[in-house]
This record gives sequence, structure tokens and C-alpha cells, in this order.
Amino acid sequence: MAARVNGYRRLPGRDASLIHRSELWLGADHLLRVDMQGVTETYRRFYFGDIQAIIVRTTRQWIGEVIATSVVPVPLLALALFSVGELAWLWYVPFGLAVLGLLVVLARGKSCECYLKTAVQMDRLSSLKRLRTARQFIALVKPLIEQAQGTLAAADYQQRLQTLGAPTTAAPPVIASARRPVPARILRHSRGRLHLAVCLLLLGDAVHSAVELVAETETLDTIGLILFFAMLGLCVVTVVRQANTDLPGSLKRLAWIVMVYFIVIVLVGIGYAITWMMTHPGGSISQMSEENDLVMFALTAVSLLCSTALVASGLLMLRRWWQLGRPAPPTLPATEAGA
Amino acid sequence: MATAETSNLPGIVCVECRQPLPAEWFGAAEMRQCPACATAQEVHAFPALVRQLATGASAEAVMTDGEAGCFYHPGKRAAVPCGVCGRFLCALCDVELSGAHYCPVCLETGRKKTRQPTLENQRTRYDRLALVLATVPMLLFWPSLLAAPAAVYVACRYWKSPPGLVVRWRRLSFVLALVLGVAQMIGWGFFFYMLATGD
Repeated sequence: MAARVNGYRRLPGRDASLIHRSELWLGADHLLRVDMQGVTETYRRFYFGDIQAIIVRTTRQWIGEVIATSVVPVPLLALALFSVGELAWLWYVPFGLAVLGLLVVLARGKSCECYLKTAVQMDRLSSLKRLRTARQFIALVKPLIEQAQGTLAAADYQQRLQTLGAPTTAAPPVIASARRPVPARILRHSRGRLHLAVCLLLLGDAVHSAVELVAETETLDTIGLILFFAMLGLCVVTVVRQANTDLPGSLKRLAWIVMVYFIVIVLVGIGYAITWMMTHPGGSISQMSEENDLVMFALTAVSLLCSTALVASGLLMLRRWWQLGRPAPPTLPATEAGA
Repeated sequence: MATAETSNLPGIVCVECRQPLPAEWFGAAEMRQCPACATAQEVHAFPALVRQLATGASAEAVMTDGEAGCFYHPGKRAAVPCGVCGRFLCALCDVELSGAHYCPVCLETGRKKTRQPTLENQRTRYDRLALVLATVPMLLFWPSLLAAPAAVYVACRYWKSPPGLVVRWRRLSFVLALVLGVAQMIGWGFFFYMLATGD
């Protein structure tokens, strides 16, 4: 049993950053949400008798975290295995940290958003970010709310909502979220042309990587650089433009994955270049090429594989999306006069 | 089996697409997909959702000469006295809070002077401010010349101020800020002394 402070007991979950913190505390007859911004604490009380519902929604943030943390260790391990020289072991440190990060993400479990509904508001409980924590919270709080309000069967809810009638609850409540209010969303249709352009550029990058494995010229380097910046720019535009479109989540995620992939490539490239310069004193960066360096060869091969896989999956998703076609606009029912 | 019309009564809306969720979800707390946007969500509903909202009491007019009237509305019949100032209040002016009755003026005064902890919705954490002033500038070295005395001032000036509502050790931050602030001030004094004597 956790110790009580001022009659309050800390509930699981915390949303904390450098200057912000959000926690939930359990009082005698209410939940206390404490938001700390800088040196100011804001309190919000939810009385057990007033809580209408707790809604937990799973999010895909967890998948993104798992993908990001599982992609990062692979090139780091490759660098650790292929690096030569006295400082080669240093690559195992970021690799170990990356693996640790992956284990932490896996241990924390699925991500979620938790909302608390009362008659006047729907408030997002930002401290409950993991499904496991949210369920622990519900297991602690639900009996207290039921003690204050009693319980109802599903059929009773239906019956009573019918008797109450729609007008009292017809207007959707405004979600009072500290971070992200959820507005009414009107999605615009998108064919996914930007995503197609990203895929085509990625295909170009894959071809470029394949040619670079067998031939090394300055022209190829220049083309590679232009392709890289064009793709990065296009990815940013795609990620921005795809918001509020009816594109499937998988296509939207693909744009993010491609962008993360580019960032990882840049970071690994910079990291390797620094190591190479340290282990080859007096050497020129222009000497780093696929022909002379095994690590560069391995990195280009990995990049070729990743680009090909992303292009293939992207084109497949686009094909599926185009086959679905644009949803037909709703038609008005035929009136007797019109018919 | 509920029909689509009856099951889509707007009791709770989907947090993603804001379409009404089926009422048959409310009793069974398990993860289900929203029929409109397929977002997986779990709804734990409570009877307050279907409770008829209570209408506010209306004040009755004074009927006879001997009846006490409300302090704020002399024409209305007094229902209860205010628990703080003792003024008679009609049903309209009476604000009941945790079993006690207050008039609007006392309630507002109590909120401002933090006499009513249940009404308090914000506090400035001076203990945290003092600790931040004593620690963060220290990391940047030169700013601590001004921040250390400021930390000591804040700690002394607000020593008796109420801490956060859920703070375990009330004065720990103040004590730490004082110790660190005074130590830095001594350090700076020593530094300037060394500078002046040229040692």
C-alpha cells in the first residue's frame, strides 16, 4: 500500500518532461490530477459521483517505437563487427544502449490514450500512456466509482439512454486536452501521388546503390547526393501533406518510416565517417568507398535491401489503395415527388 | 439484440472520429473497434452517464412578515445561514460544498485565501523555484553569482508558504536551496577575496 500524502495516494502512471509533469492522485471521494508546469501546479478534481466513463484507446505509437528501436541496433552491430582498429569496440556501447532501449520499449508494453468523461468535459489523462498502467488505474478506481454510483448492466444503459433521449447528449463534448485537442476531422481524399513519388525516388536510390556496389565515379556520388536531398525534402512534404487525408494508416506510416530510415542512414554515415577518420589518421574522406572499404560495402548493401523492401511495400500499398477507389459521395434518398 | 438506431444513441463518442459509440459497449469493458473508424477502444461506463441531471433549486418568495429573507435577495425566503459569515441565504444563494453551506462572497474569499482546499486549483511551488535557482545556474557557473542570493531570498521569503497539495517532504527543497545557495555565496565571497588579495 503506497503512503498517503495529505490524504492522497499516488496512482500509477506519470507523464514527465524537463518542465512538465502530470500525475494522478486518489483522494477520499475524488481523483486529483496534478499538472506541474514550471513552478506552477494546477489541480483538477474528478469526483467519483460525477465520472460518467473512462475510455481507453490503443495507439500505434508503440509500434513506431518498436520499429525505430529495432532498426537502430542493426547498423550499429554491423559497424561494431566490421570496424577495425583500437577504437572499434566503442561501437558496442551505442549498440548496447540501442538494445537496452528496445528492451525497455518492449517491457513497457502497448501504448494508449486514456480519457475521463464527466457531464461537462472529456479530459485526457496524459499520465496514462501505457495500456498496462491504464488497466492498473482502472482496477484501482473502478470499485470506488461503483461504490459511489452503483452498477448498471449493458441493457440498462441502452434503455436509460433511450428514455433520456438524444438531445441532452447529442452535441459531442469538447475534449479538453492539455496537449492536443481533438477537433472534428474532415478528411480530404488523396490518391497518394506524393507517396508514389517517394517510392519512385526510393527506387532510383536502390538502383543507384546497386550501381555503386560495382562502380565508383564522382558523377554517381553527385547523383546520390541529389537523390538523397530530393527524397528527404519530398518525405517531409509528404508527411506534412498526408495529415487529414483519407489515406490508409499503413501508407501514412510508410512515409514516416522512410523519413526515419533517412535520418538513421545520415547518423550512421556520420558516425562511421568519424570512426574512419580516427582510425585512419592522415587519410582523406574520399578514400572511403565501397571498393576499398568492407564496412562501406556492407552499409550500401543494407541500404539497397532496405530501399528495395520499402519500394516494394509502398507500391503494393498504393496498388491496394487505388483498387479501392474513391468512396462514392452519399446520395440523397429519392423523394416521392422526385421518383 | 439492439437495432443500429437504438444502439447508436449518443452517450459516449469515439475519441478519434467523434461518432457515437454503440450503447451495448458500455456494460462490457473490453477492447472493441469503433464501427466508424475502427479505432480500438475500451469503454468503462458508470451510472452517472444515464443519470438525469438535477435541476437547481428555486428561491421561494417571503409570504409572511415574520419570515426571514435572504441577505442578497430580501424578497426571497431564507433557507440556511452561511457557515462562515452567518448571513441568511435563499435557496438560490446557498452553495453547498462537502456538507457545509456558503454564500457566494465567502466562497470566493475562501478560494482566494486558500481557506477551502477543495476549491484550490493552482499553487506556485516556491520551494521548487528556490531549488531551481540554487541548482541550474550553478551548472553554468557565472549565473550562480546572482541566482544563489535569489535562491536564499526565495527560500527565506516563502518559507511559510503552502507547499504543493501532494508534497511528501514540505521543507526539504527549501532546506536544500538554502544550503546550496549559502554555500555558493560563500564560494563567491572566497573567490572575490582571493581576487582582491591577489593570491
